Amino acid sequence: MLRKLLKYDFKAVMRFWWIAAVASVGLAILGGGCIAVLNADKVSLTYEVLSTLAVLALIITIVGMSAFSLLSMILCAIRYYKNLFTDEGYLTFTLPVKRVHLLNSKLITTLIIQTMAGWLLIVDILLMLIIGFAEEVFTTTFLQEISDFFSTLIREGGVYLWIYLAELSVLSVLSSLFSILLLYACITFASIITRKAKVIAAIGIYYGVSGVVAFTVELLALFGIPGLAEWLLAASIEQTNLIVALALLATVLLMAMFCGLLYLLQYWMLDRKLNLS
Amino acid sequence: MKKYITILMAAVLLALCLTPAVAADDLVADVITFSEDYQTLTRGNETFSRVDYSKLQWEYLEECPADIDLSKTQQDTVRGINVTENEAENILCLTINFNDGAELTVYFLKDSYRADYDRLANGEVDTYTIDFAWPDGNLVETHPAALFGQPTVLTSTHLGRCNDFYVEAANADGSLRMTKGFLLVIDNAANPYYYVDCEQSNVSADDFYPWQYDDLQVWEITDPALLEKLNAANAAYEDDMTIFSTNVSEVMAVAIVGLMFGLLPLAMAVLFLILFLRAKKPAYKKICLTIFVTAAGVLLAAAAVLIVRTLAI
Repeated sequence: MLRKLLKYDFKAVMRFWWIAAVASVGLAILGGGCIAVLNADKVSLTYEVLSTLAVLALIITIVGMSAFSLLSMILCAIRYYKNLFTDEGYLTFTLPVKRVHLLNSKLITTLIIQTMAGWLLIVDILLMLIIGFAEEVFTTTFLQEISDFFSTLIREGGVYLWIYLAELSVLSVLSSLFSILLLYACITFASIITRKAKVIAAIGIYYGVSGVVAFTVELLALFGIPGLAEWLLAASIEQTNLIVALALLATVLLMAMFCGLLYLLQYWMLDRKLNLS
Repeated sequence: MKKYITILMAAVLLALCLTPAVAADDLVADVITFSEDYQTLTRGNETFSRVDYSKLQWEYLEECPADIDLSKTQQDTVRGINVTENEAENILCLTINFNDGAELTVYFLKDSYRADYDRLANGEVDTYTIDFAWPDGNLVETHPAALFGQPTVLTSTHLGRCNDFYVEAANADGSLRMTKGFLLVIDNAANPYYYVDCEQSNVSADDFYPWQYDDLQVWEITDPALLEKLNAANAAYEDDMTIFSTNVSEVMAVAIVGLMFGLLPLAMAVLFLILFLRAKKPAYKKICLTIFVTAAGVLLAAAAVLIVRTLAI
């Protein structure tokens, strides 16, 4: 049943997401063209006008691409809210599926959409740079330098390079999952405690909780991390790689722990506390 | 009463008349003229000639009001010239925009400072200054010969984890400063002080980043008097670079990190073990078990970091 839930959740979000994705690729091509115009660096009145327009178009491109990543999250949050906490929720909760599957389906869909949006943004930026700096990019020297850089990195990094990459990849997925769980937990909590203006309450609670989380992270970054890094890296060079790998592993597991806690809270609220009437 | 008002009005009128005259005197720009090949220029009574600015230490150059007096041939090719100068007014930077869209930036040195520049460039000075940058005035002066101790080669492994500080030579009034090399300080090394000479090690004075190099020719500093001064200056630098004193920042780091990676996971592990044992619904049991396992994992990983770090000392 989870697969069926995933299919319908995915379809519901993709209905509008693909339009935004195509628009973002179009903006990236436009942005690349604007960069190419600005790089031309000619001296004429026509060029001055063109370059002014190019700057304006570039600003629109950057704002549009930022809006695209925000829009992905908003589409998923709307799907989550409408499917579980509005009149549609009556039908959803009468389906012969476990609550945990309903929750998992929403989380997995959001994670996939967020990952796709992230990769698409990277492709957009690369597209902009390739179009904008075409003369510098499509040269043998540049490509050779890129190849040399990666070869040197792999050669010098050794096995620890792959360990760091794996840990950082897992950490980025868990960070994404944490932010999704936090948002959904705030939406669920707001839907439980309020009868009217659930959306506004959810946004307010999310800002409040995000503020607390951000404050805690800032405290850690200001006092904890520099001192810890200094203490860790004062070891001999041979031990530093192992220490950093273990420290990253501890961070990954800590993030997983917080994700588990939020997931449990979310599930408990949906299972025990939800009242759609 | 009328008399006083008259005197006051006369004084105000006088001030209003004099102020523009005084200000105008400040605003009168010097006239700059060039030689045809742009190798020399004159500004008022002063003459300047071209200089290689890359050898001098970079400093902020301010806009300088100047009237440019170009010859007929120069006017046909030049669209505009922007002039900036340094605080000591012995270096001029001219950005020349040509009619065909080209742009040229050239630097000129006042001729009266040419001898100083040549002395600095040839290393004919008795004192080099090592600038530790922090705290203010943390400088070490030394004879250049003391920096060239034991020649050696440093690999990227060491170059990637060192601090670098400017080694400068200056003229008598300090208006010309030239970077002659860099002092490298490698933490936790038996002797942490090495000198990189810009000329002999073939590194750029204005674009030197140690971590970009491998197999770099350096000189290990062995002069005892210089080592003593460097130890004192480096200790002052290290002590002042922390937000708080070392003890306070270490205590806070231990407290905050200990909370995040020690106390909190321990509490979570205990709590969710109990909840796992008491839960009846399979979904709750699974989630509680996952949280317990990850919390235990954090504790184990943190313990492993502690053990490896302690053994590594």
